[in-house]
Amino acid sequence: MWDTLILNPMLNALLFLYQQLFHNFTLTILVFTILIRLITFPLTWQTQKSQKKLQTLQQSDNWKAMQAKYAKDREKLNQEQMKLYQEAGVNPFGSCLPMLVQFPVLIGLYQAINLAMAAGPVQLLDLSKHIYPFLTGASGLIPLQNEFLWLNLGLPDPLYVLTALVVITTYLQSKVMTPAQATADPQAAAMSNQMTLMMPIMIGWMSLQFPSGLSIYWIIGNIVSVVQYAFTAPVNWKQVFSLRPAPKALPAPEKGKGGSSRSDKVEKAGRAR
Amino acid sequence: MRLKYMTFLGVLGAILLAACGAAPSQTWPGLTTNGEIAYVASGQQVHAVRVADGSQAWVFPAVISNTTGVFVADPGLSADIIVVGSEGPTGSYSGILYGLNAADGLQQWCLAFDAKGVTRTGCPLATGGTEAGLFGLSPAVDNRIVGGLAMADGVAYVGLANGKFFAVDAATGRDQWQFKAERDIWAPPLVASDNVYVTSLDHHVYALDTATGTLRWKRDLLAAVAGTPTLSEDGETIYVGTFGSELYALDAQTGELRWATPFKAVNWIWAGPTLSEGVLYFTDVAGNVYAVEAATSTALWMVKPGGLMRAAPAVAGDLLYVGDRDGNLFGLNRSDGSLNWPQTLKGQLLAPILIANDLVLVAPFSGENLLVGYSTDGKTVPLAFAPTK
Repeated sequence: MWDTLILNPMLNALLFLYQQLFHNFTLTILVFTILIRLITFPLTWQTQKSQKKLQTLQQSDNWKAMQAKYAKDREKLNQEQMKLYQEAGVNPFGSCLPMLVQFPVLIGLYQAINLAMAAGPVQLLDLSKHIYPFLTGASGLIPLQNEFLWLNLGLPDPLYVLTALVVITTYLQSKVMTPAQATADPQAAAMSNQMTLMMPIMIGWMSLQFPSGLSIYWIIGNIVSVVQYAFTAPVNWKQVFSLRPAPKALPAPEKGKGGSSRSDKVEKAGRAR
Repeated sequence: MRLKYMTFLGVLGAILLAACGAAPSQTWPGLTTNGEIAYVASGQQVHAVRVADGSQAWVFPAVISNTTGVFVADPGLSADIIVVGSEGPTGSYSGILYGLNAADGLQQWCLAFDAKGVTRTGCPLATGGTEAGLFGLSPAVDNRIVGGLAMADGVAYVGLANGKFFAVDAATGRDQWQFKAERDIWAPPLVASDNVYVTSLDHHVYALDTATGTLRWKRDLLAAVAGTPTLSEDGETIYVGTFGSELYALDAQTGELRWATPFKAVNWIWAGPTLSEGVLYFTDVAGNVYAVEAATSTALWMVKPGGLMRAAPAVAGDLLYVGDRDGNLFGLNRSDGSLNWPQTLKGQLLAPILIANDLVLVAPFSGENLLVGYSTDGKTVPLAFAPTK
């Protein structure tokens, strides 16, 4: 099912493009990634609109006042938050569904590129099953041209240039896509910061094992995402390039009525001294 | 909540992307036999197995270390020396040739192919094995030995995944000459009289002088060639199949096209054909088996007994043996391709299928046994070899 609906169409489209684009696989990855991102743009836009609405609401005076007013009553705070969401016509999960729909497409794209590069005999055998018989001349294209500058697209980059670019562009993308938000939960704010830092490192580490073709796809995907976002919403570039943690936590509410969190207790103890 | 969800998505994405990354370099085992001993190159070792009783004669290397690579190439055989090829240590994308004593498997010499000009194994580097790339920095070059070896007159011939082809003195391990194809060489070459025929994924068949490596002719077949050519009974023609799903007959001395099959196979033809009594038998990766007259290319029959087939058929008596990726081994009647017997094993039958000592030898990939020998009638399994752990 996955192969029929996602992987095979993508793989064959990739081979068709490769045929048209002078048998240059790097150029093919570039064009194909942009095309896929354009096709999925309505969903991306939907996600961004929802995120933007949510963000605007969370930065409004009403929201901040409510956070301050019910800082010690999480249950009431949740109720009031839901009310505000309803009044503003914001679905807090509105950005998740389009993202979920996009996810298989992006994974399929990734798999198609990996399969097309077929770095070894077993991978090439696998590839043979996925090519449409009616794709004229496809057999003559195999194996795809895998040399680009100093790279063999089927092997990791020996000079680590792509790894550095993967880390930088993933970080940029994370910073642009998750702008500063006022949040009531300091743990959530810390987690958000950690994610922005950890994800690029994790993906960069993984890219040391990736064939460079996949790293190129990742870098292009990140750049396209940033450009798309910048076209649809204002980006605070100053904040993006700033290394200071972005989200500033609002005063945290107590965990449940009458209770107090460990951090609150530590804080109170400190004040008492 | 939203943040938790995003975190979950991020982690899920990372896991999925990791799963989608480079597949391990391991591939199906290499298999060769001299009739008495079968040599199985699988994982990090090469096993010499006595065909008569399935016992192990020797194993190389006896101890696996962190510099031991993966052996997948069909070993090259001579009376005294067995030459085996491996990928170098993980991530090095280098290749190493070992010359082993045929009697006990002890290492006589080794030779390394490494683009970075370093050797992690203590083996001397092959001449011209290193490469300088942009600004003098080492480029990413795949020096792995994926295809098998051929041996003739004391010389081992081996191709690398980067298209380089070497002739190496089997007694000393010194490289004598090298030739460069444009893309990967994934099949053992064919040596006949003073020519060595090399196939490459760059769509060409090359004929080289065995003594000097000088190119005698090359023929563009318009699609990748991943199998070893087959020599005609009179030595004047070579037959080779391509990913263009066609089988070609070429003049062995000039490379001129004698014929191409008047039909296309359903999918790629990976292995070279098997010639017996004037009939060529070959498989395609869609699982079809074909028989054509070698002299005229007239199609005799075509059957589809199973799934994906990579290896060439083997012939013994009136039967033809083919195996598929699903682990099915079929005995087919040579006259019409009808099924005589089927058997199913654990593992994928992608390695060469060989006949020795009246047994059909198969080396299943990812199976329970490294080597299995069926009687030619498919009724008994006198040989099943699995290494002791």
